[in-house]
Amino acid sequence: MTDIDDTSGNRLRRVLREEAATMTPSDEGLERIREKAAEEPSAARRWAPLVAAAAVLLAVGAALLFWPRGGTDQTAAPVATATAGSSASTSPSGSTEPSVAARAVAAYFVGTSEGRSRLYREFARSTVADPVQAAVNTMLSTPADPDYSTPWPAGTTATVQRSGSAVQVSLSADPSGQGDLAVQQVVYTVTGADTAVTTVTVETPAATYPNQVRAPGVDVIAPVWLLSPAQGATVTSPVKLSGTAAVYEATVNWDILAADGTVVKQGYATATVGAPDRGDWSASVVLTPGSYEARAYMLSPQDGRMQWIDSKTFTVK
Amino acid sequence: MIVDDARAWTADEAVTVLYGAHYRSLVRLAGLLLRDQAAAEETVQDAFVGMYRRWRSLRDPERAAAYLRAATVNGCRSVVRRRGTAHRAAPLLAVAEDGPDLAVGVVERRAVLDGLAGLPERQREVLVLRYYGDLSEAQIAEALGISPGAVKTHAARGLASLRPVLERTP
Repeated sequence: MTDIDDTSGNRLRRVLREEAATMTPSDEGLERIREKAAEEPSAARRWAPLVAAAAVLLAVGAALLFWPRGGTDQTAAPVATATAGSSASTSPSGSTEPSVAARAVAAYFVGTSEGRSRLYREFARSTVADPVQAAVNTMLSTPADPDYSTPWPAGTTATVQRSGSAVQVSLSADPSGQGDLAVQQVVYTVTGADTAVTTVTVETPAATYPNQVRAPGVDVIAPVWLLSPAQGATVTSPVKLSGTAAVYEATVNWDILAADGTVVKQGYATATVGAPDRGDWSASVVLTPGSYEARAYMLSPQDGRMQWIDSKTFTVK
Repeated sequence: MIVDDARAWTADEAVTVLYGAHYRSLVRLAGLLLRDQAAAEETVQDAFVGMYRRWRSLRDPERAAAYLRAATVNGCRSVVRRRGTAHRAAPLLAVAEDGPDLAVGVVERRAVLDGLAGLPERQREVLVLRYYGDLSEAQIAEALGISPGAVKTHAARGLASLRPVLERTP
């Protein structure tokens, strides 16, 4: 490298970074990926019998087969192939659950702050084939986060009928309070499970809400979501905290409580955009092994009190 | 539950973890190659779907990240092929165009990006992976399926072509 190359390279680096900073990736990416992944049967499943037959051979072969085509120049990645063989040969092939059969589905649940209720989202695993039915069933189950609840009584069942871009969800019980939010919980869950759905009719024994659409997120989605670590997760330090938020001046506050309830770490993160838009936020925190609770929240612009706390308990190995 | 041993991750868990680590930077990388953020998001999402399906054979976050980079670059190339050459130089900064408050440096930045868009495909990819992605020669070679020597050559030629316009940037 000559000095001239360094200067040009540094200038190019700065231009590319400035340009990249003008792009704000949407916070719906993960949901879209899960939806797309759920659309087609997994290609990986077709290889399952071969894994049993010859795990190492397959891993090397699959690495070559699956590696994205490198265009016209096919001297494809010798480094990659070697890594594939070594990592696969030590992997506990077949010892994990057949994850390709189960699919992640997102469902919305209700959480409250100072008497106000808003929606939160959780992912769960489902083997139900229809993505909308799978998501609605999940919504009617108990959320993993004990701070969330569902207004639908235990044992409520739902049938899903589809007609083009319209879906009707008929529930066997009425929600206990949270009328409008319970309807939006269904609408968000259904439209999140299938983006082709535009209107949702929610039918309960006592009422019918015809052709509902998503209410603006600012009215129904909780301002602060803590998405990682997941409730009950076991993680390693440094622990990455991340989530989404629609908060004043894009500032999300977080803290970490030890098992005895004392605050051991705290800080704040800046979301990629501020309210009324929803941005991504993240922070990294070094912790010694133990059990902790992470909390993310906003401070009231009026008096600085903590609002919309989303918390997860987790373990650091 | 996200567990420590990546080899035991399900495909869902792998996607969740790798999304957090790589989605935003890959969208920006694809955006630099395509100058179209919506197409960039689509491309990167498809790369993640591919990774989800191949997790059984990848089984390793580093390998999965390498796969995501390679799939993103290849996806971008497909987008460019599909839309032909007409859109290649479409300015991403259309909003700022010729406005009275044009920030200092915006014109120069656009000139560099236009120059980059006019380079041969390989040179553009190598420069973006190297100077935005901060990847090593070996990583770039892996992502593009070319030899490290070819990476060096493409980088040198690309940078040489851009040098006149880079010299005008502050």
